Amino acid sequence: MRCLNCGFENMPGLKSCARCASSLALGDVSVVPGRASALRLRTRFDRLRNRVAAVTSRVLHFRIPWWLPKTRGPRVWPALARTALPGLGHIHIGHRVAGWMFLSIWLTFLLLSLLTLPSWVTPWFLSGAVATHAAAVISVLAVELSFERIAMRILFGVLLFVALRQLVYAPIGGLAQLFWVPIIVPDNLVPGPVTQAGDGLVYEGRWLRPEQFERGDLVFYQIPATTGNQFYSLEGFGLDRIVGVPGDEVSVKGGDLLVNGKAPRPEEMPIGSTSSLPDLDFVVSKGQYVILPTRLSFQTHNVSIRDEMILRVSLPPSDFILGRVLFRLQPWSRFGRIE
Amino acid sequence: MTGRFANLEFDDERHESAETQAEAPSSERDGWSLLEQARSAHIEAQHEAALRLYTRALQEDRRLIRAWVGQVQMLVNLGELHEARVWGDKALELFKNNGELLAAKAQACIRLNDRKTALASSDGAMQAPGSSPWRWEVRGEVLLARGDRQFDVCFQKALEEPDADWFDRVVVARIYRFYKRAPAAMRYLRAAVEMAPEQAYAWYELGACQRELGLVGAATTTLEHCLDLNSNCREAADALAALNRMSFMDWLRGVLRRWRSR
Repeated sequence: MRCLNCGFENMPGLKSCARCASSLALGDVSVVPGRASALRLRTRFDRLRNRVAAVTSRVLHFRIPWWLPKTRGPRVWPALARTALPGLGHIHIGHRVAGWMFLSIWLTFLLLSLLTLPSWVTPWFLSGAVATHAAAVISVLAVELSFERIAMRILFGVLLFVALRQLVYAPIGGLAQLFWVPIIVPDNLVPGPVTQAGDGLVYEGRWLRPEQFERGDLVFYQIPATTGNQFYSLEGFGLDRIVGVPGDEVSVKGGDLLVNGKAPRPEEMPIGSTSSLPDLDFVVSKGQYVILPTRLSFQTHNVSIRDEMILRVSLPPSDFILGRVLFRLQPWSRFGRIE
Repeated sequence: MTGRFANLEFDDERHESAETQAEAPSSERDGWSLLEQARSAHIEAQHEAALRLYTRALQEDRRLIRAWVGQVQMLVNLGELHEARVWGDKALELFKNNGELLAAKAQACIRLNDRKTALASSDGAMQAPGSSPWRWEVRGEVLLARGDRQFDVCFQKALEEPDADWFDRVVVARIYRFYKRAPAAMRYLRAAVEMAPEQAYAWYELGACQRELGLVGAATTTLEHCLDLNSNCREAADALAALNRMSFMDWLRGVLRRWRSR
């Protein structure tokens, strides 16, 4: 068995050369090379990236491999692409334990951030998920980064964390908020059976918000800043049911609410009491809704000013209604759909 | 020297292969003839055909190291650099530290601008037993890409090797042209056509290089001579047609290249 590489005469039965370790059994080896038609883009990208790195190091006398890691093997990039879901890249390259560990930690953080939504701990859990993701990416690139100095590796990790947070997770969060928006019930609302200050709610985002609302819809709405005779009110948010839609005649007389001359059904009544409201009379025009501020607290003892303030905030324009409230997320004891 | 000790000497691969070819079985002879066809296609810059022929040669006889090297070289010439590197790695798993294969891998790496790996592979190629123009040519390319001034010495060494022929001068010129140094390539191409005036491909390379430098008249003459030698040379016909469409800016760029090389 003569080695073709070094010419050494090996003992019969050996599979590799005793001197140079070249293979002596070539019978089953594939001889058809893989072609690049599907990978040409990658070749161009790699050349461009390496060229930029080379020019930067020459011009700035400063190596910046933390954002331009060099390719040293064909397995890094597929693994890196799979690390879009932390851990899958590790599973792809055969590091199953590490892969499942990254995936489970990341999912745990993500689940915790969803369960605690929208509270002050949510951003911390989300940061944990992002950090786990960044660690998974760094772990996949460990061989590449091992050539760099420790300071560069730390800098790369920090930049990766910031980039993932700002360029991946924040846009995904922003996209989700076009459908559902989590809020904490503002402190200016009087506690009641439906909501209490500090409750975590979800209302419809911009893409789910209906064009027109109906009587009885529980909505989250914006109260614009107004200035009146001897008072001003700051901008804020309110939460109550719509009692009048365009075309309706709404009146409050002696604390009794009448819509088009009739008492509304219980599910169309405001969530607070109307007994403390002054006498009001509205004809709702197009683009307006009547939402009586039965849950708002007013910081004044002057009855006439209070009545004027109530009158001003009771007819919010359609654009100021942010969306229908769908769910209560917090506290967990009262988790569920809001009727 | 007799018996197994005779195998400790490293003979010239070409002489050895000629001896073994004569006494080889038919499949191996087929492999060698395919290898020769592949080499011819390689010299005529028909890289796709050469790659297919090298592959067919290996299907006949997987022990042909020159065919493995040729495959990697063709993949590089076809611009499939990642694949060339992967294939070079695979061949190196079979033939550990083979100098020619290491040099081929170094070329793939340097064209991917992975200078560290390219230099390491080239170092390995130079340290491996034996010597060849190819190893020195790749060494020169690696140094040229790294901006090391010693590259020209390496090219000279390549051409001083006993096996060096006109095609090695064309290879050096192609390396220069790849790195946008057409004026330096001209020197080697002129030497190539002097050595082998019957080789149409050398004339084509010279014509293409002259075209790059804006030497319209000289390029036209050279490419026409190439077509006289080989009327089927499609690249020369295309280059000649392109020469007629050459814009003022192309000409100006060529003049600037010549001026910068002074």
